[in-house]
Amino acid sequence: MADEHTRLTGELQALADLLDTHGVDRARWPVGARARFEPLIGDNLEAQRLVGDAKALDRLLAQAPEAPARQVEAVKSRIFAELGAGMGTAHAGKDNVVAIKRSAAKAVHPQSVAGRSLWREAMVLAASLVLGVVAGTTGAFEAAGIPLPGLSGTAATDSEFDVSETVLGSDIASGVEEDTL
Amino acid sequence: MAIDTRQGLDASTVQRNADHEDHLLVVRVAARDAQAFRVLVDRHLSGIVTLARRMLRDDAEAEDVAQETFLRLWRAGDDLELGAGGIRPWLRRVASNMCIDKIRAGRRLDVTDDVPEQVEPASQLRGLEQRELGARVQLGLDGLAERQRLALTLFHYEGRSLSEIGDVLGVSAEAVESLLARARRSLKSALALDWQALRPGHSDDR
Repeated sequence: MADEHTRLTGELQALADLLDTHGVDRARWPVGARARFEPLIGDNLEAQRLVGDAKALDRLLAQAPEAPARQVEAVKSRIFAELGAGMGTAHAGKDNVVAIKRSAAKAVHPQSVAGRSLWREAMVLAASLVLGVVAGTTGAFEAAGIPLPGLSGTAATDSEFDVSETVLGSDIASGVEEDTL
Repeated sequence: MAIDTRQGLDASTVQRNADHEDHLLVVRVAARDAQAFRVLVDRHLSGIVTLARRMLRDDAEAEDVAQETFLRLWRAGDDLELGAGGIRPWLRRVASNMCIDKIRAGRRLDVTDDVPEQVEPASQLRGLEQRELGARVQLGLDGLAERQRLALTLFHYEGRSLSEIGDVLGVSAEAVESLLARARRSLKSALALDWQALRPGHSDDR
């Protein structure tokens, strides 16, 4: 009987220590504690009183106030003030990357298209010039019976004959002459 | 009991949904979505400020910690590694670690019995009596020795395990148990009238 009383007293003290440490939430008790103390709590009024006291303290702790709203708002303002430039930079940076990519694409593409157009035109003009020079110097037109209005004598001796003017037009020929000069 | 169970399930569902939304927001924040970041701040800043206040017992330092916590979130970008718990425990872990760092920096080391700061009401909707009760609880918490308060805050309010708290405080799990027990006993003594008034009804918890 005395042994039983001693054992019970020891168990109640162990339960009190457990509650002082871990509170009343049994999910947070150490492994084995629940199985150990649940029978005691179910049967013993003193054990139930201890649990009730621990629950009251947990309820009291739950009354601890949270941070005041104005303080939270103040911190929020500080965060966005701090990040204001940073967020802008980050976004601007991100957007800039896109913008740079997009602008780079725009910059390269139009130039390449323009370059290709000029190259084609230059090739056509050069080919025409070569053909004209060859035909004029070899007398191909006369041999073929093709009259060349405005031409008299041989091309080689006619100072007024200008194949480039025939092919490219007077303006371009003038330019060529100017460059040559 | 059935109502409690339904409420528990509903709360669980709500929490899962919130966690999922948080996850999506974090993904957007990693992609530098400022609007998503603002939503996360709205959702979690209050809890972080509260945690820092409880740990540091200093408004200015608590605000610094809360601010830096969210700045780290934003700056982490793609490098953010949340772990399995998601953003909420990540934020709280970062904040609590910063609080510990500040304490370790030497500002104060152990027991303090300073007059507690004026505690603000948690909500305008709370009655005067409840606000006063909250203020007394805060006063009691503030009156605890530093390590006791930290241990109790991390265990009771943050749900950290004994070993986690031991790692944070640099002590063994057994030492944390001792800190927790002393903290709760101190509070039971300091706030005896208050917790006794909150004792369960004669039959509802037995």
